Amino acid sequence: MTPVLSRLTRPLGVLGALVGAALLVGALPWLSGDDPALGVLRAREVDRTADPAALAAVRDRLDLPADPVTGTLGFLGRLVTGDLGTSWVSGAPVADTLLPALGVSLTVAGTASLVALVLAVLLTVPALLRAADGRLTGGGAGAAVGGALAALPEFVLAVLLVSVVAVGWGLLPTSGFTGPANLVLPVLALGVPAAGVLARLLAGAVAAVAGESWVRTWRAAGVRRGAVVTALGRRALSVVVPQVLLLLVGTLGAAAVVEAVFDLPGLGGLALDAALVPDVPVVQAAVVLLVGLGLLVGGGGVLAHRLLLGPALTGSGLTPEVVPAGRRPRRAALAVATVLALAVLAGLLRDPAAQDVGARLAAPSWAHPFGADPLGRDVLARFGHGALVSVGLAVALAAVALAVGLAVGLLGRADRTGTADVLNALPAVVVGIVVAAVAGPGLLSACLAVALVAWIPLAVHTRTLAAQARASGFHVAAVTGGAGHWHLLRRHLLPVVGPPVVRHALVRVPHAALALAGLSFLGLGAGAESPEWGRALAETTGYLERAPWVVAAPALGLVLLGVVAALSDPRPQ
Amino acid sequence: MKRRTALLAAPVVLLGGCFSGSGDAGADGADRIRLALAFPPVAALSPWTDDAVLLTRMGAAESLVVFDASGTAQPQLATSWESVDERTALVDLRADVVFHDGTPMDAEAVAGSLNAAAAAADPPLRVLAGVGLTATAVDEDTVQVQAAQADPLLVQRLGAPALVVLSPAAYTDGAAPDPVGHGTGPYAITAVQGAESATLDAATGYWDGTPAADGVDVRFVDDAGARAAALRAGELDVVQGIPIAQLATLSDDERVVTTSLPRVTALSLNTASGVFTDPGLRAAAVAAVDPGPVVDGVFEGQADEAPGLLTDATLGAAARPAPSLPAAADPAGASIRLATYDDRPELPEAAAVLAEQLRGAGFTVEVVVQTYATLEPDLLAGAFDAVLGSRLTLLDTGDPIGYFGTDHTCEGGYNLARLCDPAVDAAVAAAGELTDPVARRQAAADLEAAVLSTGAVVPVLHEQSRTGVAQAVQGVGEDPFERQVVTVATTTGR
Amino acid sequence: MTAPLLVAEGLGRHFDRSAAPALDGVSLRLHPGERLAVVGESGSGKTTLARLLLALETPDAGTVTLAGRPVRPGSPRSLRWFRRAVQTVPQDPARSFHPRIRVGDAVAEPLACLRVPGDHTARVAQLLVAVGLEPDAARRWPHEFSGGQRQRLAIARALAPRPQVLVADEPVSALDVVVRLQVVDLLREVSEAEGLALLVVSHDLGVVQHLAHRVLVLDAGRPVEEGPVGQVFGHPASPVTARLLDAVPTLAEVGS
Repeated sequence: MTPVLSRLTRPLGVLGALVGAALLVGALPWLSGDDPALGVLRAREVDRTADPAALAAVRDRLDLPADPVTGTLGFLGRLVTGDLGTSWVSGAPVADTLLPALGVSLTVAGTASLVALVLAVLLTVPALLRAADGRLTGGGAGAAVGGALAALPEFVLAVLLVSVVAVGWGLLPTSGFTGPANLVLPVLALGVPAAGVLARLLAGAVAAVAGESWVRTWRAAGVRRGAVVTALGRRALSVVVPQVLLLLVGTLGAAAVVEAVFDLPGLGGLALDAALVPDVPVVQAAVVLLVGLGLLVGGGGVLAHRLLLGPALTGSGLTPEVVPAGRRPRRAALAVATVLALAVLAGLLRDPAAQDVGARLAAPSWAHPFGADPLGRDVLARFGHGALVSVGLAVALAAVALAVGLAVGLLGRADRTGTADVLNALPAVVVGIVVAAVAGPGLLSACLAVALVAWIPLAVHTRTLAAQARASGFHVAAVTGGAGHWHLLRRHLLPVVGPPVVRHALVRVPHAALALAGLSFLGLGAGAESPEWGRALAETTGYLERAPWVVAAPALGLVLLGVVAALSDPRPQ
Repeated sequence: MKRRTALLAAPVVLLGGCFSGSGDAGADGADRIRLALAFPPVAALSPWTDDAVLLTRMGAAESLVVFDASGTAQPQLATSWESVDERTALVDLRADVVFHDGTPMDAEAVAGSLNAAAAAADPPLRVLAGVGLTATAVDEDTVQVQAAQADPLLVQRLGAPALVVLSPAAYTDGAAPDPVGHGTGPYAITAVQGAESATLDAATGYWDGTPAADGVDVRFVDDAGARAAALRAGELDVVQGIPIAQLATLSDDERVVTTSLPRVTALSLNTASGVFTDPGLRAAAVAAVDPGPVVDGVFEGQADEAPGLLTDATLGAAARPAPSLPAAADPAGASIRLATYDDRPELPEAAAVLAEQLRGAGFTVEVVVQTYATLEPDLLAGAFDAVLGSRLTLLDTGDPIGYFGTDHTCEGGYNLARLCDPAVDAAVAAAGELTDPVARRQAAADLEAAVLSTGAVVPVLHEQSRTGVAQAVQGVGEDPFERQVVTVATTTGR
Repeated sequence: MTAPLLVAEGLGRHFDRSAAPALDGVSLRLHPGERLAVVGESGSGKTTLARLLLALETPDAGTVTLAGRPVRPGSPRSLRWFRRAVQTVPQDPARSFHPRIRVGDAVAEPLACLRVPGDHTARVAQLLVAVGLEPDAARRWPHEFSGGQRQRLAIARALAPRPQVLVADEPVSALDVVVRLQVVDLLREVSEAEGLALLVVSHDLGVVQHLAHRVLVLDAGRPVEEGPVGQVFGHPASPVTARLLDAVPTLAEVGS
């Protein structure tokens, strides 16, 4: 490939991604086969019956394009001149609502990502200090905390924070977005679970770096503890920074539920409401904006990675540690898993569907050890039966995400940002709506929508680790020995990159369960009466103050799952 | 080093923050009502969309007539009216009414307002669809309103929120009138911040006296839980739409004003395809449904068991004939799909209870819950055997015959039960032509019995509106049509 | 004089446009059986030169040819002919063997990857003996060997496909002084026995003197001096070379 052409591939790829995203969204009405005029009419007047005259009048006003391609081309043409289009529902320019919403979301998501990073670093400091002293004994309490936090559902945390901090203690406003005080609770709700995930990644990175020989050499040479800690931290951070940026962009469009709870005029809610109509100009503009931002930030992630690691990345100065196989999982993980399994078993023996409206929201008692839900059904029984669906689905989804993520991360070229950043920037609910439009509602569509997005953090993690692995000594030796790409992948990259990414996938299992919950109200997911944990949480969060046990059971289930995943790391040497 | 510091600076830029909203709107010492409404404006408060009812709730605009609990027209901006013939009415306007921008409300202004509404074509207003309304100023205080054909509901239509009277300056844009500063209500809109909030100041020249507060600060909050939380935290004085789940969490500092609504929650059975084409099975379903557990359990007593589709208040003195259903058949495990939407939070739980009752009668039930937007096309296409939905029985005109027309006739646009009974259609057409309100009420009662006798609809309960207020607040509107929340008498009691 | 085997002309490489180039205008000729050393201070570009000669990176300027055929980094298949002829002995014995692959399989890896015909097991045993190890060492793990033994294994691996050129980047720097000499002797024996050309990058002038025929001195990426070892070390033409020589501590100095 000539140098000119090779320099063009990256911008062309970016352009292709933007056009593709716009086209996909622009095709929403055709994909679902529903008349957009009906949706617009309903959005403007809820109780109006759709008589043909009214629909015809709306269609005239909307001036719908004949097919998705012409529509998207028109949209892109206007975009180039700076015109984001006009909303079908309100008739106002899209830019008037979209840009302020983007500003709000950027502030909230950016601050949340920062808080998440800081919290994650704080959680990792004990492990870092131990590693610098050469006493790395593995996760312990820090790992458990990280895993627990990572599995906290954001909307449950949001409702909890509002009722305790804002209403109960009166310290902060409950909702709105008029000043910095409004920022605290949403940032906590979004940032704390993210901090858990980042803390797990950081802990893994610290453990990997701590085993490298230079650490021993530095300590033996009497280098200051502070310098060792800084160097260790910088190396470990380099793995995590791309993930933080992924998180930032992912939160921009996906925080619709938290935005609703705090009445934030953000991009997630705007995109979701528009996608449900469908108000195509708004969704197209939102998606293109998000994708563009995602690509920008993704490139920034790669840049940051390179900045942090410096020329060591291209030389052969790095050799990631390879953990020998066959370590027993920690006893703590087994203990927690046993407790969880016992609770699930106890639930499986009971009837999850028996309603007793008289016992609505009953407190825990001998008859109902975990209490009763709003329809008087036994919470313990629903906990047990829901576990099978939730955990089984989540593990399956995590496995699929792992396979795809590993494949994409290893086979993709080292530095190119591409499909991953695009898909990550798309709000998961928009992906869900598109999947629902194409494949119809149901559990399979929900799994598809979650799988489409879940592989991205794993792919980015793989890409990051692979870049480091490719710079290692034995990799270079294998290359000069004439090893082909497949040989390198199989024998040198996969054994190095595989185990950390598998652990990462385990951490994300509760996430998959929560993602399913987030899609359930769109009709994607388990049936309406299913005891699946995510669904149970989505339906009962409003009762948090009156009957905490109803929300606590599935939430605790997810948290314990996260703890088990976190504690399952094999003990490093 | 430079590049690294640049990286660190990026987060600071993010924190620069984009804060929206009015912040501190009230002046010191001002006694302003802090109000939260449930639905945000979709079209910049244009009265020709659902935003019209927001205007009336905020106390910013008014229509010529209002309705009482039975749906009878009562004076507001109009003082009296009389029918000249079956398609014409003469309306006397209230004197001394001034728009918020200072222009007086005279017959010219009113006629102009009504004619602009009639000319709206994008789409045409639903209350005026097919009416062909024209308004002419007869003299300073009288307007003649004329329809293209005989219309017993002519004056009733003037009570629709879409026909709020705005000053002539509001109609400069033919597509959507601008209500900001152009209404007649106790409070005048001074500013609107997108779809998040609005500010209103007291209109000192209001025709019904001086408003009790200095102004209103409105927030449009979608999430019911967030509204309730703000009320409990003392951030709001009046909150529309407190969910039942949060009622028990309110303390002594708040109370709830409840009003019975002409809104029925009913189960529509698909008579055109599937299991429920058999009238015997429909009768079995009717027999199986027991509203008691739904009202006492799911709604926690905050609803009324439905004696029929229409409320007692709607029917007034009219006698309610008993429906006669065919004999119930044995379901024998017949499989049905019951759909509902979660936009109204109690519906999914109610559907689960009803499903269990139907299972007890022998049906196999699968419950489907989606958000209304994704469900509507399938609902209208008749994809489900049973639909649990919530419908207003008294629409824009305060008249129940229209509800039967849209929901239970062959050509009706919202016929979820897909009922097509020529007898019912004929009865609806005949009832629509009655001019005497009492006769119309009785005709409505007879229609209800006819529809219920087909077993196509099973009424479950009638809903109530719940407006949460701080303990000291007085004078909040208790309008069964949910059009008046802030009134001239509303005070915060501070 | 026989035709040169490995030729580099005007090699240039820079990592950062604004900084000084890592290599600038470096040329060398390696004849069959010849041992050439590349010396210089840290940061003089020695490792970069080795990587370019091994076709691990693309030079920004200049060319590399082997037996007259140009070498361009590309797919493993397109470089297979080059890799059969040119092998490397890496610097860090601790890190150049994958801890989860047995030593015998690691040594045989180039044979498999380069599709060398013949009995690989027998060849591995032969190689192990040639570098002074037991044949049954093939079944053991890398961590069971000392640093010096691992470097012998690395040499065995490099010799497996019967290359014509060995490029060694600081092959003995990570080893104890005593072991160093053994490995250097091994390299020289192997070079003379198999007729291998050897390019050694080193900062240890004692090693260079013991091993190489010719030496190339680099300073900040530029070639400074080149010639037979005895001549360059005995009568350095460039002040850079003189500085390097002066920096070497002698026994006499240390003792006094």
